[in-house]
Amino acid sequence: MIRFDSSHLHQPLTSASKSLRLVIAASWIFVGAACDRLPGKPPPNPAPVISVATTAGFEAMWAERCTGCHGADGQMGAGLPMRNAEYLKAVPDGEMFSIIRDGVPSSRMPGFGGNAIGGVSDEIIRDFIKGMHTTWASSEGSNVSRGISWRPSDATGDIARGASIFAAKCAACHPAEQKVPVLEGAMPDQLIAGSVTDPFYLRLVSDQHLRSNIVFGRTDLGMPGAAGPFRGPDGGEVTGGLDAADVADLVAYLASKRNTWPSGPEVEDGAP
Amino acid sequence: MKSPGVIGVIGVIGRTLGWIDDRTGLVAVTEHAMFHKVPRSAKWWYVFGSATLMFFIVQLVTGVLLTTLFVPSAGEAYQSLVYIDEKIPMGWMLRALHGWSSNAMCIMMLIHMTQIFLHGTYKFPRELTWVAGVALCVTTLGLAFTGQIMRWDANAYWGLGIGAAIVDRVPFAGNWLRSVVLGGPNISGATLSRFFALHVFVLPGTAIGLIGLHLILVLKGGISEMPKVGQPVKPETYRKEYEDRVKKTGVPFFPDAARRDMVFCGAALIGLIGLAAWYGPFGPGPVPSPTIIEVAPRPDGLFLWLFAVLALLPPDSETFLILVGPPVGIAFLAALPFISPSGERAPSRRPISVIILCIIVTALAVLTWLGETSPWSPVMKAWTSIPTPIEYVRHRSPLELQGAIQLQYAQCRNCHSIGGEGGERGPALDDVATRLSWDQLVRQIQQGGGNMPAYGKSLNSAETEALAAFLSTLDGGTLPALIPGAMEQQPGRDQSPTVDPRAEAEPEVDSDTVAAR
Repeated sequence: MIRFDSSHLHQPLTSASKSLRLVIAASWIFVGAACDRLPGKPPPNPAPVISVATTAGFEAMWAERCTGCHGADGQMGAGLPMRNAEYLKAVPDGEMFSIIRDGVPSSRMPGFGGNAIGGVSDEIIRDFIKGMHTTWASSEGSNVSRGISWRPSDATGDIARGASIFAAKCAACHPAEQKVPVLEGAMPDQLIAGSVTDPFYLRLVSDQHLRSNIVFGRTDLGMPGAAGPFRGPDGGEVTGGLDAADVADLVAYLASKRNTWPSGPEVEDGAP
Repeated sequence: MKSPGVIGVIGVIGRTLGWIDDRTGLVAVTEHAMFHKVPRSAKWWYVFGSATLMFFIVQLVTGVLLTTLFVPSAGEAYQSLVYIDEKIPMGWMLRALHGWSSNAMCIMMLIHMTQIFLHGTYKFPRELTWVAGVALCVTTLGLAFTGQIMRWDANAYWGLGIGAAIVDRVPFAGNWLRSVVLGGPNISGATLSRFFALHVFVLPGTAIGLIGLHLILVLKGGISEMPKVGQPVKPETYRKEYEDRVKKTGVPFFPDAARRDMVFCGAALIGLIGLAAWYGPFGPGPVPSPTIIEVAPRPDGLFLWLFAVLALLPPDSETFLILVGPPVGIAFLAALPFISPSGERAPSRRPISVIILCIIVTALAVLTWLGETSPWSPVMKAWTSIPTPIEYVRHRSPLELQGAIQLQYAQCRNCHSIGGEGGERGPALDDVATRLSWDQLVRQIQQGGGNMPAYGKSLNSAETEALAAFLSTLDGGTLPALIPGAMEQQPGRDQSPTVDPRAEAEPEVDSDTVAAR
């Protein structure tokens, strides 16, 4: 029952003690209700793992373990860009899973799961692959690969045919010299990317690496995929993409260059 | 109007107190402690000792409560901390109060010591008060160090590892001492039990005893006056002069001086609760495990300077300085009142003391800052988490891009930065091509040197080639070569690789190399 009592207006002492009581009551409520929500309360241990299936979780894991080689947003890194929905679609999830978990043997792609130090669980890797698909789904639409499969077929490539395709479509940007100085301010169509027939380069990369680069290109660096267009020996544009046989021949041609120069002047003591 | 019953109760209490005082004399002692006269000039400078004591009492109360919850076994210590944090109502607050109060106690103690040193209070007749204080300082630091180990996380492992390494250096007895400290050859459950005993029984007991001694000596010697220029301490006459002045102008400790202590301690206590509520408890950090390499263990704030000293000492003087430095330092502190027992107390008349203090404070501040940033520690995740700057990816040949990958894969960036990101242990590599020629790059990679390990065994020729090719493009933008021969391409590499370069004539190779960039 609520009763209006105005007597406290005439009794300053009682009024003071009343507000004191109010303050005490309020602080108890605060202590009771808010103490366990103070900013200092530590988060539960172990801290809740943000699922990498979410965008935030995926981006955090990408930033921690992938950006070093594959670039901060999946491109413009030294390694193959993953921000390429066409590539991600072409690589079966099972293959991608084993690449991420176990790495690629005798390459610089380390494994991030299994028994690796700090390795993550298989489930996290599967979620991570989903995250790649959803995060970079919008990077699709270019059809740079012309539907050529990621893995080669069993047919062996024709080296001589590969050499002629190389001369017609690749050599303008990839001359035999290891390195040609790039002029500052050069237009993209004047860029020279440097040699891919350099045996040191070829020893560092697998045939699969060559194939992925030829089929899917490195559009972030200005290199077209199998769809072209390419630059011809005269500097003009060469349209007409590569088909699966062309790619196999090109890879075979490049692979044949891998051991043309068994040991350079610097490395006579130690072969790879 | 008081009822007869109340009067009776008061009478009983009064008689009981009288009986106790008659047998123990405690009331008289308390009375003396509370109402003895202290100099009128003893003002806000004098509150830090009381605040240190107040924090020690907080430590005792929270420490006893924590002891009832903490499980001092290697297998369960970590989990029991998590349990206190999560399951005990306000358990995290208890840990936070204990942790923050330990830091606050050490800081108050250091301020108190600084004030005593600055005012020359350690001089006659208070020498032993100072010596007891130095012993308390060592005990308190011991409590702080052993307390960090109670967390039994990766940082505790660090502390123990360093401690074991220090005692290991003792000539002849090193191994034996190490097993005494660790309770065996390695950090194990026995180690935790040992440090638990130190932290919970030995050191607090020692501290309580020393605090008692310290307080008795303070009462006996009297609280000092503020130093005055032209009023030097003369052992022959000091006692009489001090007593006369205090009798004439002094005020009772309670309530005049104690009021300031209480106000300051109250404010400090509120600050402590605020810190604990806002920032929460310390750790536990990562689970202790020798296999987890992705932690950068670092001691608590108070020992960061030591961490920096240990990291920065030149290797050949390490053993000597680590073993001889601390004992000599502590002995010097304790001997201070005997080195300079009399004379002026005013800081303005003791320039050397003030300069020494400034040097020590500056050195500790700089070392603590270095310890906090620890630029000598490699950034363990740099190799996967820091991308190659985009401008270093553009306009690079396929081989150079492979070199950029190699730079990440060989974890060069854990110690070297490019584009402002990466470790600071080695030099930044953004302009390395202006400093090293191709040959020097290759030699540095293969043979190491300076503080850098040799990578010749772990890189094959193609990897070295790619790495050097990438590094030779890092010319800092438009910087000119600093040394002759820098910024040239590798001799012989700008020929068609289908031709064996060994068949080529040497002069031709040389003329081609200069033009490359």
